[in-house]
Amino acid sequence: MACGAGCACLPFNPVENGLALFQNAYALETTDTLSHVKAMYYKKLEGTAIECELCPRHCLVTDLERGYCGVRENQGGEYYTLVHSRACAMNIDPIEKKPLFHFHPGTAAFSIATAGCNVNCKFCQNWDISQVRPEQVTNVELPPDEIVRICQARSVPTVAYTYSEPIVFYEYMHDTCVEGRKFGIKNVMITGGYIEKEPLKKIIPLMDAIKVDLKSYSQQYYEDVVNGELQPVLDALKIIHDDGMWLELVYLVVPTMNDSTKELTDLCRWVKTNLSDHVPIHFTRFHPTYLMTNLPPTPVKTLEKAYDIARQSGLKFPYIGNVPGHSAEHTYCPGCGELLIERLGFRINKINLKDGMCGKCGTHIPGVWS
Amino acid sequence: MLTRYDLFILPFLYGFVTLGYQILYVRRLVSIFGSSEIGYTLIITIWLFFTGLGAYMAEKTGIRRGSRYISVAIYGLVAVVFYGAIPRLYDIWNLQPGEVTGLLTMAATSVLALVILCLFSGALFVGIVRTVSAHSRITSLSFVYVVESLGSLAGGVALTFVCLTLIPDRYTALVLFLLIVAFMFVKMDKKLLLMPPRVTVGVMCVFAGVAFALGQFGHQYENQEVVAQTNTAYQHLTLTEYESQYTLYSDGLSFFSYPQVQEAEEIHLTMWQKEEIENIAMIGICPPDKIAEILKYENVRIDIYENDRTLLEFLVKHLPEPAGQYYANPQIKYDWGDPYIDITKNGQDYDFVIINISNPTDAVSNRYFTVDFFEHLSTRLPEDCVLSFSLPGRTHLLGRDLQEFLGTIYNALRTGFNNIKIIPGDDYIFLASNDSSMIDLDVNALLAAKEKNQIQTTSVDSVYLSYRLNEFNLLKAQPIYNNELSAANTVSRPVVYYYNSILWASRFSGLEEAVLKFWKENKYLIYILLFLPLISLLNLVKRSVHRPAYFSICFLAGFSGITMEMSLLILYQSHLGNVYSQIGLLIGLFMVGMALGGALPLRSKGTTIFMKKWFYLGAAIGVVVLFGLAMITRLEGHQFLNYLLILGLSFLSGGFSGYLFNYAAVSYKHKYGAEAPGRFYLADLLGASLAGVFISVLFIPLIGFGSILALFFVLYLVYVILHRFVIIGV
Repeated sequence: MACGAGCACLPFNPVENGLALFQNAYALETTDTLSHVKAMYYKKLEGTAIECELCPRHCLVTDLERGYCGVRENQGGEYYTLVHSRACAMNIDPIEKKPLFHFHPGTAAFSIATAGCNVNCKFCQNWDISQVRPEQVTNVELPPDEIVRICQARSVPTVAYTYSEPIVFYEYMHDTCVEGRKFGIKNVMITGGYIEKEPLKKIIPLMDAIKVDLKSYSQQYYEDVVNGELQPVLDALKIIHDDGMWLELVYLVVPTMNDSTKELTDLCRWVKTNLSDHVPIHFTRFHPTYLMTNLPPTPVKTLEKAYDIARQSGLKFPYIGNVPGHSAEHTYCPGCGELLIERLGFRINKINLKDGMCGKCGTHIPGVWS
Repeated sequence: MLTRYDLFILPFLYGFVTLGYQILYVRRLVSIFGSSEIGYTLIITIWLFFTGLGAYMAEKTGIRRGSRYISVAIYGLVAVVFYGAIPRLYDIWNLQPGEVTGLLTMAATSVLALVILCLFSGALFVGIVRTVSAHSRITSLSFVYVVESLGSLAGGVALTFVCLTLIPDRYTALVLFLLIVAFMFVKMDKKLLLMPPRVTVGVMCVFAGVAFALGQFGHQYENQEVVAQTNTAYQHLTLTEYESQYTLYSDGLSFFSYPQVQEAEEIHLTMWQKEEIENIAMIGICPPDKIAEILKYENVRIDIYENDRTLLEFLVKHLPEPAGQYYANPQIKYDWGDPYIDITKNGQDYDFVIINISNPTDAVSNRYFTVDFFEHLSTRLPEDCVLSFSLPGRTHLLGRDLQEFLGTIYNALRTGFNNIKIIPGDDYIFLASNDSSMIDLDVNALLAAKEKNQIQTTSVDSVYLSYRLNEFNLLKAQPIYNNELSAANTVSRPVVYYYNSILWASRFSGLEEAVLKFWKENKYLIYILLFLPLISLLNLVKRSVHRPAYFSICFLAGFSGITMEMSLLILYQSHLGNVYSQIGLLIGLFMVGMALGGALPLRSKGTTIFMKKWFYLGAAIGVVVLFGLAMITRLEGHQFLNYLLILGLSFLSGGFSGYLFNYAAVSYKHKYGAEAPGRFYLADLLGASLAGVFISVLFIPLIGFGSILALFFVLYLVYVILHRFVIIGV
């Protein structure tokens, strides 16, 4: 399947590629040892203590202790990442699953993750890898060059840093991006955006697209449900957008918790004012999991309400996610309303774009199409 | 002066009210925490422990002149904290609506919710014993114990069959409150009350307030509209609605939500295994969307095996259309018997059997995932029948805990079926058959079957299947196939409880998980625990210490009583199905046995209690109980015999427990000329609470019902030695 923009992405056959990838992947060895690669962002304090400067949490870590994320350790006054080249999850996913809708539609992404996360969302879909330490999962030794080799061998055009929180395996992600770039492999980061400005600015040039999970537009929600902060995420969004990086937002609509009309309206206004009305925003359906198993899944009506609010607020590309078959899965031209990309779940049924423009009226559709 | 009638009515009402409260609070708290073996165990353990402690505190402080105000102050303080804390519990733990509770949160919430009630309840026991003692010359502790058992029997029956099925819980609580106030003021000697009457009324009002305040736990459904709630004979049901999304909760746990957007993939992955489909059996009622998916297949007949008829009526009445139309479709036939028994009896030529029970978290659901059930199915169903079910999994990772959990079920499944395939994912789908040509997970073959049946689907399509069924994903299940370490899950050794507990605990702080894993990794400690009573006994015998021996017997009474009660309840569920409809009978027989067993030593006069006939009597009851228990584990498949045996054993084990308690109480009074109700009650309930924790969480899942036999044997030996060599002293 070639994307509508006529890019050079190769057709992807998940069955065939999956089998081959498996054979390859299992040629890799699982490992019980952790990595010992020096972390990129930390400050030495008195004695052997250090202060991590990767995320706004700024963990103060004494000797042989770890930061909140559980994957960075102070060893004698130096800070080390324990998960460099230690992937605990990898898979070939459609790019629509990330979701990135304006980024090479219909292509695949080799998706990797390590253990750990710098927040603790009570609804986390991947809590089994994000809320554990690396010793608690089975890790595969998967260095950056091996990732690139797999992508090349399987014609997978993109590497996605996803599932858990890629910020906590920052050095691994960084080195893989650098390695991938040498061979034309694209990189996308799927993140919560809870990161300090400096490391963010350094990683942006290595990326081709970034998707940020904005959990809520309420600091209280971030405190109670996410165990994080809202403002640093908003700051990160502005930086990503101002740097010209392709950005898509996901807002997981958790029923009764972050779905009030006011919150959704405020959120959409903020996006339009501070980012752009062209930033796609995905209102995705929550499915009860982890600690929030006694809530209902998000009603479709609630998602439609969020979608309508976004449209009324002037956002051009709102989507509804995790509802296969819904008309708000598709991309429409903001100029003439023409259906541009027809989706059904992960499947692309139709693309009506010509050189990144509407096939009917020629309106420019922002995104990374080629 | 109280009449003989009054002396009877006091402990009877006490038993009635306390058991009534126990049932009420346990149900209420379980509906908050969610139904689980650990949840039940924890609440009952806390209940028993604090009741015993209340009795002990009353004996030590409350009855003495001058100290009653101190105890009042303590109770009052606790009551205020408790009362203030209840509505704010979710804030204290920072729990959000819909958030599940961990072990520590459960424990802390239970303590807060129960402590005052239980302390007071224990103290009241001592007060009643003192009241009876002041007005008669009988051994009041034993008398109260016997009559209280009868009261508990009446309370259990009344609550189970009348109050909770006919009137809302909070009004039941009010009725109990009025009863206890009435009997205290009408019948109880006010001079012997633990607290001054006015304070007593105040504390009781707090109880009533608490019962109502418990409604505040509805916080879990905050912002959702509660459409309907009901108690069935099997579960507590709540249906909520939020922006046209309906969610059904069973005992506080989300059961399903309607409408579902995604199609039930396991239905189609199962149905596409055969070209011609006629008959399908479904174990357990399922969401309407799932039925709709099956009804896409023309002329298929569906037999749904479900024992809770009220559940269907509830769904049809309260879910919006077309849910009712799906359930009422003429292609569906309902069987309202016990699914476990009926499906294996019927022996229909089913093409598919779908187990629609999500997770083996208790003895009833566990039956459908055991060697026993799979072997039954395998012999009764056609060779090319495909069995399918799904269990919760993980998208990305097959961790060791999940591997062991699924491995126990896979190892059970392969005892009945020789062709098994597992599809990993958020839900692990198990497909099994005895026909080696069945179960093809080739995407093209499945799509051809879809085409042939002309099935329209939105999400289960070629792209989806290509990702879900690619070899890379399928081979994630390889460690399950090769998992030789996990014991096969059986009825007698439901090891899956343990793994389920681990998986459940892994969501919370590491402490819960670490504690559970500790016991698995140090299983020998469980065996040491089994023999701990013997070790402490040797010390008693060696030092010829008499007084603690009496309390030890009481401890044994509590420990053996709860051990047997819990074991029999679980055995009943495992062998005979849902126990709710019979729980009144089982506990009733236990209580009657307790009353009768407890009445036996009351017949002794003077020093005859130390005669050997009492020794032989206790020994005989113990042997029969031991033998009966051994028989149950050997009578797999003999439903009626098992039924009789479990009922009989419930009676006998109650008798053994009651006999032990009162034997110790009567002989203590004869020997020392005084009674010690607080200490005896504490010893009894301490034993009971410890048994609650160890039996259901560790002994049964990790070393099976055989361990109960061994434990009971040890307890029995302890009794024999204590009696023969310490109390009789020969």
